[in-house]
Amino acid sequence: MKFQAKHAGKWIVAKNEKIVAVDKSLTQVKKQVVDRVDFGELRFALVPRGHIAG
Amino acid sequence: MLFKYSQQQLADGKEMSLPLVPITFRNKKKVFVTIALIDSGADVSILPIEIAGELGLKLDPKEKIEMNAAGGNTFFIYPSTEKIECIVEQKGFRSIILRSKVYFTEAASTILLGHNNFLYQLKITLDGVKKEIVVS
Repeated sequence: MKFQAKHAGKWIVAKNEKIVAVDKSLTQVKKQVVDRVDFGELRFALVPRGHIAG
Repeated sequence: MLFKYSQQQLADGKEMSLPLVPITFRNKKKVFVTIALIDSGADVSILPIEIAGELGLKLDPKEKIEMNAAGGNTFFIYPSTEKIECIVEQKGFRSIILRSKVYFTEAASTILLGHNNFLYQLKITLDGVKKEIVVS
């Protein structure tokens, strides 16, 4: 999967690596896709805000 | 199982390759399908607190742990009160299913897979040259 800078800090939903929904909130991004017939094929991710160290 | 690193485009124009693996968290009938960062610098797996709601999990504030981040800041993580399944799967391979408590925080920048409840139970090889992750 490729994370884009414009999605930093946001939740994304992807199907086969293609992003189908974006929102700051997990609840809201899920609302955008929950009725899709292919919901079971979707993958959620929280895009890091930037560089990570831990 | 073999996974390719994921690409992260940063605001400063740089691009990083990150060892993210597809993973499914399951609590009874509730599932959350996502990708998570292999983090050998994390003692435990840490998930954003919103996912606890998706999985119908209660958290245990009495068992909270203060974590020290690499930058010196601290934050709290809260364990789930019950174990959940962490499933790594890829077509053509037998699924790996781990059962453990996971930790949640409001301060999560992404989903981290750390030592205690994940990495200690698996053999994971990071090939930074080929940008590949082998999980067995």
